[in-house]
Amino acid sequence: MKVLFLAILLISTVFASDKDIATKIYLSLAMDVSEKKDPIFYLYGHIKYLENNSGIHTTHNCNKADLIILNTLEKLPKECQNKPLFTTKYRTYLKHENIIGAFFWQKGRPNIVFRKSSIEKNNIHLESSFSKYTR
Amino acid sequence: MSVFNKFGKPFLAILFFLSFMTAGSIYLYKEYKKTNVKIHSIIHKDLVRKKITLIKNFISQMEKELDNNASKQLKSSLSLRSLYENRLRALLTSEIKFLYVLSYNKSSHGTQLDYLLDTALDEEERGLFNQPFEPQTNSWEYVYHNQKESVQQQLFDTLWISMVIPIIENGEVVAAIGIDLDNEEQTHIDEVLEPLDKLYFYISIFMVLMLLSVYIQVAIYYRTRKHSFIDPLTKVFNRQYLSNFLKNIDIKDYQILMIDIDHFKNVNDTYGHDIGDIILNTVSSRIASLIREKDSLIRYGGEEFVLFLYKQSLPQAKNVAERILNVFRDNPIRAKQNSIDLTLSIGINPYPSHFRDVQEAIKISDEQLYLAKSNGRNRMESYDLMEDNHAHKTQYINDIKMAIEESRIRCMYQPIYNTKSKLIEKYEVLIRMIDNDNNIILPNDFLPYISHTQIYTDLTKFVIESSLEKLKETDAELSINLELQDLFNSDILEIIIDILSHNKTHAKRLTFEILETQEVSNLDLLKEKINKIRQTGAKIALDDFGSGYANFTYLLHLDIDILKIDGTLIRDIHKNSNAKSIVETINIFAQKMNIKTVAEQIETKEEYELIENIGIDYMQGYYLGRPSFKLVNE
Repeated sequence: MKVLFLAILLISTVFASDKDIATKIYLSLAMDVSEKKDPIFYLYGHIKYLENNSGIHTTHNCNKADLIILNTLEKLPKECQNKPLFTTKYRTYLKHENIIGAFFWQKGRPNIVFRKSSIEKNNIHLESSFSKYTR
Repeated sequence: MSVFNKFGKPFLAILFFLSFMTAGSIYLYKEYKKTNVKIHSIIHKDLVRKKITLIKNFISQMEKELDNNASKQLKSSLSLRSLYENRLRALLTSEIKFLYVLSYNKSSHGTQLDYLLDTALDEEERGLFNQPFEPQTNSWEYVYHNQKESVQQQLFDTLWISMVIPIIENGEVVAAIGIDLDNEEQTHIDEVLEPLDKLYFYISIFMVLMLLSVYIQVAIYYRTRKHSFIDPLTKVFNRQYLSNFLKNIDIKDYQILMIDIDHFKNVNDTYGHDIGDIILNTVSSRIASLIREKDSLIRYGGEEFVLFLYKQSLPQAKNVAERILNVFRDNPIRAKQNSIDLTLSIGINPYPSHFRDVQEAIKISDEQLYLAKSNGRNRMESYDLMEDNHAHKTQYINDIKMAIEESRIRCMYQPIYNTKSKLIEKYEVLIRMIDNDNNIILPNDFLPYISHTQIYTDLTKFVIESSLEKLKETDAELSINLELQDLFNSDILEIIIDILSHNKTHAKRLTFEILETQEVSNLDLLKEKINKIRQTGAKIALDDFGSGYANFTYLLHLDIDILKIDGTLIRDIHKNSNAKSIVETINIFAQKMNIKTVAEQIETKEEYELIENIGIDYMQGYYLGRPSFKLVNE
């Protein structure tokens, strides 16, 4: 069922707006990370599509967040560093071993990648369909 | 009856024109769209072909330089990657948005794609070496398995076409070059085509608006036209429609039923015109409910309807007529709390095509209608071709034609005396036919056979012309008999007006004695026709007044100069006090109306003296003088 969900999710990415795609991906990921139905996001840096997005719950307090979405590591508050980190830039993803993955747009296409080591370290159970993108 | 017949040939022409224009517009627009697609396709194919050739040459060159092991060597050498990235970058043109090389790598999840080279300079768009690539489409998989290039129209906003060209080493696809064409190129092509696109768009809009406008105009025209053909009271077709209808049909396909409401005048007089209107409306709707769409019901006159039955046999037509009669029998019409019993009379002409023209065919059905009325009303009468004894009739017509040619149609003159002066002031012109045995044939024995024929019209002309000639020989006046229905024959009326207007001096001494054998409902029309005759100077006498149909209504509505009191009232007037009272009343009434009176059929001295005492202006009869081929003083 979940496979079907993800397949529909990715197929729908072709037709849906970029913002919708991003919201779905992030929500699905955060639910897997937090095992909550309504996960709370902490946005660090300018996160396109998620700012002022009524489809997700955000917080200004990193401690309350289930998932940190960032586009830079510069001056990331310490209390955030131990939380599951997810980035919107591949280059940022490469810079920090703790970042569990990246979802970014390149050449007009959405791309997603997960770091296997970081996923395991944070004891995150990603739905099986995400495993294809795990490295 | 089909809609085409109802609207006629112009409707068909417009329908054809509009259909042609609509089809033409659609065809033109479709052809343009096809051309547009073709232009795109040609540009698309040409561009793609050139790019693929370019990249294939690049791959071929690279493999040659790297001993057909480019993939491995590039993976292991940063400087080689940099070199070939730069060479690849040299191939970039304005229409290429992205140009990159991906390698196929086996993993636990299957074959995955990783960046090998990327010509993008923008950091956000540039894929790093070994960075995974999520293709979103199956082009890369297709290329991997089929070792053939793939071209795909992109689904992403900023891209137009994506091409994937395989790099094959040792029979295996190890990498592939991806080219994403910028949709700006397509935008550019669209911009070039835009004026043409706009032109076709505006032409199409113009055509659609024009067509719409024409459609609306035609719809309005036919709606208005249809309304002008509909009688507002009864909602059936009116007489104006009849002429249009007759132009567009083959009369052979129809049978004509003339339908009249019995004693409708009484209804109008008793209940008033409002109820009369309700009656007309109910009658028309009851008849309409019994006929088919292809039949045509037309309000012919006041309470007269003509029904054209389409392709029915005589028994079927009679059956329809019987059903129409039955729907009124024991089924009173309710109108404003009144329950009114009505019956209809119907005259059927099942053979309209046997007559000279449709008007004559209608006349025959009208005659049958009046026959039905004469036979007691609430019934139908049908024209019987056999009973009419066509052969016999034809023989008679030929005899009469021959009589005219041989001058055996002659006029007799019966004197009319001025009661006071005792002088002959007038003669009544009486037509006679002399047969081959020199017998005198009275008009009642030959005129019915030629009614509704050209001979009848010719004969009328002959009588008028003979009378005018005779007037030149005498100072007396002459009076000619005319049936009231003759006035409704446009040919006869035209002849009368034409001859009299050319003989105005003599016309003043001519009187037309109008004899009404059939009830006339349209008095206004009758008045109009009588006035036309009076305008020539001729006088109008109402014949057989006091009997039959002739009544005071005519005196009220028509301009009459002379009343000829019916002979049945004069005969035995000295023995019948009622007849005497009626004649006295008529005379007083006529004097008040300034109308002269004539008593006819005076056959005895007693009758003569009594009429003289009553003061009737003129007298005529065998007692005073029999008809003769010569005037008395000749």
